[in-house]
Amino acid sequence: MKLEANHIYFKYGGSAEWLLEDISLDIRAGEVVGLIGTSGRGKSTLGKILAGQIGGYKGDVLLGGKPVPKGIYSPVQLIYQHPELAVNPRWKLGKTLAEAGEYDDGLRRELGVKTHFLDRYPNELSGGELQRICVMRALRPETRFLIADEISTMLDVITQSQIWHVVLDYAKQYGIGILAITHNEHLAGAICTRKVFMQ
Amino acid sequence: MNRRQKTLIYASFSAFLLIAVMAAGSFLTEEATRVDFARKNLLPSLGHIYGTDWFGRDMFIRTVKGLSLSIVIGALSTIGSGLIALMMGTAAAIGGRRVDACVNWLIDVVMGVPMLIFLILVSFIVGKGPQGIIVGMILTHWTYLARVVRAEVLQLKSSQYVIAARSMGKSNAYIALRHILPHAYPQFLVGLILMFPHTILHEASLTFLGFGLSPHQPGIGVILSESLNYLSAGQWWTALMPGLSLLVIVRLFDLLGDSIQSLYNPYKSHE
Amino acid sequence: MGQRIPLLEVKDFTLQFKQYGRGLKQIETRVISGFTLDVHAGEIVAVVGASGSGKSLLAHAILGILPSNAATGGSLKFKGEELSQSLKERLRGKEISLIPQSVSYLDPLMTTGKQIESPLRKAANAVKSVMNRFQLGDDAKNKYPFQLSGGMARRVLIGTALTSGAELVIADEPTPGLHKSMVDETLGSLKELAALGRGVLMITHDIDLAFVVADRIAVFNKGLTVEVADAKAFEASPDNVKHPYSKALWHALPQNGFHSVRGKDYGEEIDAGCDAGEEDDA
Repeated sequence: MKLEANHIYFKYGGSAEWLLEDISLDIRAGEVVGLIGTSGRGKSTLGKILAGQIGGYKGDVLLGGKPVPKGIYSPVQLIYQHPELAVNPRWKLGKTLAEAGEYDDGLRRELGVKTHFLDRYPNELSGGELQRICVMRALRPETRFLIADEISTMLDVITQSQIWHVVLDYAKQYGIGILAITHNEHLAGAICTRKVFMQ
Repeated sequence: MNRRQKTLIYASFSAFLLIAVMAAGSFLTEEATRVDFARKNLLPSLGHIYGTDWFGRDMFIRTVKGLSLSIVIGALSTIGSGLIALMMGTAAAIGGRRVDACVNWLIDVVMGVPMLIFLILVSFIVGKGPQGIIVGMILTHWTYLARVVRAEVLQLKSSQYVIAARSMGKSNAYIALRHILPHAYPQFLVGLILMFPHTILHEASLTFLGFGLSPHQPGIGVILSESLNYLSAGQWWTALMPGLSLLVIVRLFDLLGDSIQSLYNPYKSHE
Repeated sequence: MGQRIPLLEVKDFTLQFKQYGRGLKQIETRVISGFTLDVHAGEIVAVVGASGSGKSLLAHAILGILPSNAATGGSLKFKGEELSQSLKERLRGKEISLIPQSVSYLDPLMTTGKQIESPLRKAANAVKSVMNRFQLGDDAKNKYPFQLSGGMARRVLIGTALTSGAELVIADEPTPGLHKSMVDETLGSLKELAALGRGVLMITHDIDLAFVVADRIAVFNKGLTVEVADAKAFEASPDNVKHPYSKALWHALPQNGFHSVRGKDYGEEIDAGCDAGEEDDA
């Protein structure tokens, strides 16, 4: 299985220049592709297009040769840089986690998500604790590909290492392909099987 | 006592007062405002705290009745405009570009016409009296709140947690009900409460100008416009007391809305 | 370093917020507890901690711009003088200047030239040299913030702090969203400031950045300074730091092996380390 973007052209409304111009990229199952480059080059936008979160682009995005299905738990999941924005601030985290369906308790322990976190509101937890929960809801058996958009950029390096080790193991076990968007070349060196640079 | 407790006490006090005025007004019968020339044109005193008018009617009772009617009309108009605002705002936010342009155009048109002229026109078409005022008010007062709803829903729709919910295969109905509604309703509620004083004042001014309630109805605008005729005769109280009461009621709603808003304002809510 | 009076001296600093819990109950949340640090003239000290750990609030406390529901304890001294709110207000922008985290700190109604000029009324030349250094062309001088790109806006912020002539510059996450060359340029400017005898307090979540520019690194987590270490020594080897949490930090870096223990709560290590080692009155 392969997630591919073919000849993508994209610009935001009102902008004259292409943000993404004839970009092609593919990620195979089990692969960890590092998408590396400084900010403002459209890496995040490409990630959102791959995850089916932005429309209005030219070119196509295919999962196993077909369009990415919608209306079900998406096989292409995206994890964001700022977890505090990715959870409903009025919900206890248990509810946020339950939104994705039932969870695997072993995974919870591996990710260091303590059960009392689930009884808290987002503003009562740190960014690292929230990101563990966001990672947890994206790691599910239905997930085939994972777009990780600077997921550890705002975290301390220990949390970064802990989260990535769990993600990589899970991906290996289930044959998940990962696109890791990062500006940190050391990090890319430690996790990626292949690197793509956006100049 | 912390600020949140103060606000809450404050809010319940004004809510209580408003409900009391409304209830008192609807329980008062014709008997309470009967004509009695034996006590006409009395200055405010302990027996008649707002004095009496040229027919010997107690001005306090008339004022309460007038305000009560104003509050009822205000409530009906506010609920009506609120519903329109909710529909228009939501439609603009989720209906796509064309619907959005349409709704925005409509808002601009309604906002562009001077409100009183619009109200006078509508009350001509629908007919004078409460129904004319209410319809007119419903048609004119929804615009501001519709903008608030539109902005709120647009922002929530593009928030990461809503997008995340969508990528978990959640339906539009689920997202609207679980994510968007609970977030948007405090804003909406505050908007509604703040709309209330507008409708009351507009009803009073419309009636004052002779386009609203008929002279037989106990509206506050009716009282004020009648009183003006007697003002030159030195009867200051028949205009001043009801006018002040109207001001107090309007301010109460305003403050109630503001205090609820401050509870929900993320920058101030923890003070 | 006993003989010199530090530019900035933070001792046992605590900060808590009053917040509403469920309903009407007000609860106190302690964000910073037992923070101790000093910054001397001519050095760059980096406070490194995860985002959301409350380190930006330290900058806000020094500048006296905390929200009204915050309460502080401990002591903050500038050149040996206790920083009262009125002193903070007097020093802010003159002796102490901030390179803020967000570009929304720029005055939306001022052109770039004026922004850079504003802390220092006289210096037309200074403005020019700063603008040149930060690759802000002459046309940028007459632009308003909304006309600038994100990167340019950041450069204006840094330029503004540089012309201010402040003795203490606080840089709160000074480089996010900048190109590699601009990151280098910014860090170069900070180094230059230090070389001119100014003190720089850099607040960042990026330990690599701290390794590049800082003289000393304060490891910050769970509201306290776990350890203050020499930056070069820390970068070179984990043996040069004492606290197990600092060592763990070193080992977790991708270039140092990316090691961590799965599911372990390293916060407990901080609690334990502090009970054993440092004096903590909390």
